[in-house]
Amino acid sequence: MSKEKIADHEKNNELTEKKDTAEIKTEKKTKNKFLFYTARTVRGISFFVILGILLTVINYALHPKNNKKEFGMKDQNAHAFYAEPENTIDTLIIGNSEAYSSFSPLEMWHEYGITSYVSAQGAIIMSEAYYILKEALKTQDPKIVIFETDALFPHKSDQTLRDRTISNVIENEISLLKYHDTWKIQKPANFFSPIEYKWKSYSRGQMDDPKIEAYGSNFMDISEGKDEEYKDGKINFWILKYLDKFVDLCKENNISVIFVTIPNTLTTSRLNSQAVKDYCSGKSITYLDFSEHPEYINIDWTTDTRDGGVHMNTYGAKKVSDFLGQYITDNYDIPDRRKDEKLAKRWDSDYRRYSNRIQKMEKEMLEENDMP
Amino acid sequence: MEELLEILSQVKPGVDFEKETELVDSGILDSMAIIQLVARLSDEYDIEITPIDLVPENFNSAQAIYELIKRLDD
Amino acid sequence: MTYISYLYFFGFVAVVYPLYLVCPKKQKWMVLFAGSCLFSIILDGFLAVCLLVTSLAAFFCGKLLTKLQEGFNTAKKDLSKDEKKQLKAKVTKKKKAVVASGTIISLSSLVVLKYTGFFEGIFNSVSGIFGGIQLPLITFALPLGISYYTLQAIGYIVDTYRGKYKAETNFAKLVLFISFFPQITEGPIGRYDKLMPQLVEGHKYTNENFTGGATLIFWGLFKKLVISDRASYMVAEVFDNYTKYGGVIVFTATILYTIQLYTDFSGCIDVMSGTARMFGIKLESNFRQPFFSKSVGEFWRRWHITLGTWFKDYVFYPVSLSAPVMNLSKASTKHMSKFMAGVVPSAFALFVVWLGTGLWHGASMKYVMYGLYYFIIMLIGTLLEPVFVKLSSKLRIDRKGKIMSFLAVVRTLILVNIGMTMFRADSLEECGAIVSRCFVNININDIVYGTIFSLGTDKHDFLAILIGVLIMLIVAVMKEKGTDVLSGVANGKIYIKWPVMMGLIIAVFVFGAYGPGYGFVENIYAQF
Repeated sequence: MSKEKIADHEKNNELTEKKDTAEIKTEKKTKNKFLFYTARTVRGISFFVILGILLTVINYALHPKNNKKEFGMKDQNAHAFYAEPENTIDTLIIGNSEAYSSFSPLEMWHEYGITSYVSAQGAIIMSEAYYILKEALKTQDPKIVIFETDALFPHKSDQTLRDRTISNVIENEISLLKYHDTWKIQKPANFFSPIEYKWKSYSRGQMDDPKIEAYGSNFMDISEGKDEEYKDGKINFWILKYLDKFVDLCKENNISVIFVTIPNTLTTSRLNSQAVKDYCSGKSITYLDFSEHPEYINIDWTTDTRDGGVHMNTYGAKKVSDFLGQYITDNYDIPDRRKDEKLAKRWDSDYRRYSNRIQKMEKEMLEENDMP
Repeated sequence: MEELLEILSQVKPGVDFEKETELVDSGILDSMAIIQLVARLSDEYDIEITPIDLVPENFNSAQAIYELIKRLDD
Repeated sequence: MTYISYLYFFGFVAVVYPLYLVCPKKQKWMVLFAGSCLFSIILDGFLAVCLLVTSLAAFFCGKLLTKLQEGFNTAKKDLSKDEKKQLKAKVTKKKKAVVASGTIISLSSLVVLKYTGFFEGIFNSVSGIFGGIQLPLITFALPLGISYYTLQAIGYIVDTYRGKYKAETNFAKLVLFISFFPQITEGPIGRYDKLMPQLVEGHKYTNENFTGGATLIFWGLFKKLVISDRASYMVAEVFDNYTKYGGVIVFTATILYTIQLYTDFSGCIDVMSGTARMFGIKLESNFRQPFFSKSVGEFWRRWHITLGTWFKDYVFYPVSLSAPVMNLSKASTKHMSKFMAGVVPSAFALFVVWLGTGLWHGASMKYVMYGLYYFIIMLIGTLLEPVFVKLSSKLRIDRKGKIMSFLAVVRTLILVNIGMTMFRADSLEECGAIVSRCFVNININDIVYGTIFSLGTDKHDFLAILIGVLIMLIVAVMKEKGTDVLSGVANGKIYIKWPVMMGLIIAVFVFGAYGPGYGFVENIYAQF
């Protein structure tokens, strides 16, 4: 072998050696890379796991420990059904302020033995109604859901309704987002006490108010309210979406749905009623439109409203409830719960409280009127 | 360069212009001073300084200003 | 869609971001383009139309300007010096016509939509004096972001005129630059040469960008939700009914408003910069601890920085270097003292700048006065500067010493607080009334008996604001000293990074003013 060849040979050897080390290096690199990415992924996941645990603990700490406003509960009147014994509410009434003003569960109890509850909140939007229903179904097994349709036409722009629906849905799915600000009212000592929803609404969610503020003369025609906007019979996309979910949820649970329209001097609208009618016929839902048939309930606008025709007072609610109680008894197979002694005791005592309150307020009002 | 240093010390007295390299970034020359300076420079050297030339890099040191003048003179 | 909303984070970023990551590098910018278009359309259909018009104007003007310049560059090679000069003058004239028309087209939608009512009002009052006709006042709904992207487009046109860079050849890319979604409604006002390369580069996922971006987002949310919104309730109550309240409450409200405005604006900018950061894009910084400024001028170099630099580059310099001002400068050199000769021309240019800055904020006399307020303060400061220098040397006061610096900061804070009050009040008279109201009926019982906590911002809110502001103050002091706490946290060791980030996230979720019972508070600077 000549010198040059040897040199060549050595060079070649060197090259192959170099190649080998390079290969080893890349292999090492990929291994390291693999380890690196695994470590990173594990780290990332554990960050979110720890954060999730922390947020879950905080969520519990900040969750209202009772279903009352003082404990941080939102819309306590709509949520006092928690305190009712399980599966004792046969009729659930949902809607906005028209609903909590126009229905009297205690009257329906007294006259017909129907157990009902009004889960309503002012200016409710449909997703809120949907989540109230979903929540109520956790402890109750209603046979009938009554829905007051004024809530289908909220006085809000499409954009507001979109944003509010999205917020509402997220806040209901992640309850920390809904109740986070109870840090303002809860005592730290109560952060980890048990959650017990014991607060009950004696009126079963009704806002019973015997105050009278008349509107016009007797039996006014209010087939069309005074408001100019939101009366074109259009149901907003987000409202409709959650209305569908609401109705589907009822159907899944074999609940009969009744839509009711209570007349009032502002929002009553023929076009809106027509839109509801169309919706109901498409889904075979019973629809009682008292704005088209005021004769069913004989509302006297000089005595039956508490604020000049916008909302019913106790007397108006009694008329509506009388009709509905009869209607339900005639058309649905609902047990007369008065036969259940334990339950009857609970409801009767609340009825007494309710009627006493009305008598007392009437007396006060008479005295006030008597004053010179 | 001498001439430039004199103009500079007239516009903003009491600064060691030979050493400073962050005239604009450190706030010694604010936009008002720069405008005065530009007015003087365009007068003395008969050059046209346009807004595009008014960037900190061109005014951060006496050397940078000198180079700007030379560039614009061509 | 506003930035601080579930829809933005869960419905928009959560869709655009993964798309951006999986898209091949070269096409990534298209995701940003589509996202920005979609964002503008969701925001306001009319905005999208205005944007398109401005983009078209900027695109074609830019193209024409670059073409003219390049034509000149190739033609001049074979020309003598004189011919060159002649040709240059000719080309410059053409370019000037193009840049003027481009600017006018871009500005027109802004001017028509924002200022019609204002100018009509002026016309009517002038015409009223002479018993002339009165125009019916027309006001338009101003699309969000128009005041920001218009400036961005004009900056681009002027820069191509100046030959700072060549015009963009891809229309979609230019649209992306003008409408980039994180900065469309509140800025920061971006520059083409800094932003565009980042927009089209196509960044892949990195931990640094993700954690850095997320930290900024939560930091911004903290400012906006924990501090700003809680302050807004009392501010609204007191500014609307200031005659009902005594000095302590009114004064507190003016301070709260300054806090509210800063945390609202800078918080939103942080959220947006954080979003952009996740995409690997660095937006211009808009704030640099403004409340540590020693003078009002410094304040404006640290507050809404991108607006200030925009006015400097596209208003102050061109006006200062324009022939009339240059002549004024020469004339004043002859007839005035050296000091005054320096002041007069720049004072003129500054007047234009501040008039513009005022009007940019809103089409009313109030905003004009707001701008001129700062102009006058700065002018007085400049004019009195020699007096101060003499005085302090006589009294042997070290003006750069710690005490004097501190006093200067306090003085600036007071002046700025008055400026902010002017900004919030409905009119100049009302501002005067509010400021003087701070000194009447000073009653410590407002605090002792808790009246101050019953005006929408309760005791707990005050506590949250106080702690929040303290945290911000610490972060700001650190930053002044050269330590960037936020990026330090984002890139720091795990035992620092995790607790701080988790703490920040939890603080936003728990102490933020959002959810049922809290009204949504519109971003203040999005309304301009």
